[in-house]
Amino acid sequence: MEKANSKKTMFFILLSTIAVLLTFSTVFVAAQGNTEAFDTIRVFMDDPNLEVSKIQVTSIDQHEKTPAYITLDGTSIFLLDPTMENVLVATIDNQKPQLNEEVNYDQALIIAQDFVGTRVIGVDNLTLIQDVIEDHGEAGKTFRFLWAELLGSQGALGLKRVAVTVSASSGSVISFMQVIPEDLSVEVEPRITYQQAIEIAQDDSGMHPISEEAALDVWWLNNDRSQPQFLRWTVTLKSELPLNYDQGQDQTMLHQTKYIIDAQTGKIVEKMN
Amino acid sequence: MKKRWIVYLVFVLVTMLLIPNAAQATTIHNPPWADNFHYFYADNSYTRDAATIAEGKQDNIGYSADARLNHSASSVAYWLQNDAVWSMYAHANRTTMAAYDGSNNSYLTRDMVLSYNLSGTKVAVFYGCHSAEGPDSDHITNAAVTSGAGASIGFYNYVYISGGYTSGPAYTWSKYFWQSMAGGNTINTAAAFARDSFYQERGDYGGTDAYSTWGNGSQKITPAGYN
Repeated sequence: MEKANSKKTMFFILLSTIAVLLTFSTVFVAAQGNTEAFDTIRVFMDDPNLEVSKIQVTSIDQHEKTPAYITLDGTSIFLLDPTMENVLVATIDNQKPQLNEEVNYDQALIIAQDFVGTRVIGVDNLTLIQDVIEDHGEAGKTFRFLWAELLGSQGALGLKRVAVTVSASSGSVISFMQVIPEDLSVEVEPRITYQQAIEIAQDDSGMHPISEEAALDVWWLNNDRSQPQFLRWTVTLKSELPLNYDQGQDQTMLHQTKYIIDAQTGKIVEKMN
Repeated sequence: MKKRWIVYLVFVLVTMLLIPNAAQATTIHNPPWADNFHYFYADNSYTRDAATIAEGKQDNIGYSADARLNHSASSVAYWLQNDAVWSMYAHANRTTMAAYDGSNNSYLTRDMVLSYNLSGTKVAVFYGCHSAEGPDSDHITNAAVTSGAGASIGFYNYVYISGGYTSGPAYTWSKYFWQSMAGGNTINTAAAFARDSFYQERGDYGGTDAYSTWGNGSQKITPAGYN
C-alpha cells in the first residue's frame, strides 16, 4: 500500500515537473520572439532605445500570422512578418514640427528614396509605379510613392513592392509598406487578354458600366501566402445606382465593382462591390 | 395675482429642467457603448465580418460593443446618438449611408446627422464610397464632427464593402483600423496603418488610400469612455 502511494507521488511530481518545464519553455520562446521583433523594429527605426510592446493577441485574431507591435507612447505601430526579421508595415506618427513651407514633389521623392534605400535591398531594380499627392483632411497632405517590379511583355506587377508616404507639412516619412517576395512560380504572360478579362466581368455583372479598366499582377490565391501564386486581372467596372428617396440629398450612388480574374483560365476568383 | 405669477414662473422653470430637448448631450452608459452596423443587401453585398471584428476589438478594451445586422436608418441613428464609438459599413455617397432592414432601404443622411448632438462620440466611422467627398466639406463624415463628435473618418473615392468569395475588403480594413485604435493609436495613425496593411494583405489599396479624417486627428478610443 505504501509502495503504491509512493509511486503515485512520484508520478505526480514527474507530471508537475513536465508541466512547469513546458510552461517556462513556452514563455521563453514567446519572450525570445518578442526580443527579436523589438530588435528588428529598433534597427528599422534607427533608434536603439525605442520602447515597443506587442499588441495583445485575442481569440478573435489568433489566426493572424502577422503580429503587430506598438510603441509604448502609442504613436507608432508596426506589422512584422512571421520570421520577425522584416517590418512589413510601419506607421509613424507625424511628430516633427511643421516646416515654414511645405516640401514639394522632388524633395518628397528624395526623402522617400533615402528612407527606402537604407532599409530595402534591391530597391534599385524596382520601378516607381505610383506617385500621388493626397489630401486626407485632418490627417494632412501627403506624397505617396509605390515601387514594384514589372514582369513580362505586359508589365505585370511582380510580388516585390515597396511604398512610402511623406508628410508635406513636416517632410518626414510617416508610413512604410513592403511585400516580401518569394520566387516566382507562375507564367507572367496571360492567356486571357485585357479585353477578354473586361468582357468576363461585364457578362457576370450584367450591368452597363460608365467606365471599365483592368490591371495585371502576380499575387497569392485568396490573399493567402500559404496558397499558390497566380497571375490575375483586376477588372474595375463603374456604374451609377439610383436612390429611391427625395430629401434634398444626392440622388445617385456611384457604384464600383471589382473582379479578380485568373489571367490563365478566365475563372472569377473574387468579386467586390 | 403676484403669487399666481410666481407659481407660473416656477412651473415653467421646472418644466424646462425636466423635459429633454434637442440639444441634450449624449446619454452616458457604463460601460460605454460601441455599435457597428453591417448589411446584407439585395445585390448580394454583405459586410458582416467588418462589424464583428470591430466589435471584438472594442470589447477587448472595455466597451460594451455590438455588431448589428440590417437595421433601418432611424434605428442606426438611435445608436449613433448613444455611442462613444460608432461605425457603419454600407453603400454610400457624399451625403448618405444606405441602411437596409432586410426588405426596405432607408438612408442615414447628412441632414439627420447635423440635427443630432454627438458631443459624447469619440469616433464615428463612415465606411462607404464617397462618404467624405467634396471640397466644401458638406459631406456626412464632416457632419458628425459639426454635431460634436471628437473625430470621424470617411472616404473621398470608392471603397469596397464586400466580396462574395473570401473575407471582404471592408473586413480587411476594419481589422487593421480597429487593431490600431484598440492598441492606443490616434485616428490619423490608424487610418494610415489600415491603408498600408490592406495593401500588404491584398496587393491593392482597394480605395482605402482615399481616407479622410475630420475633427481631432489625435483622437483615441483608449481608455474606453465617452468624449
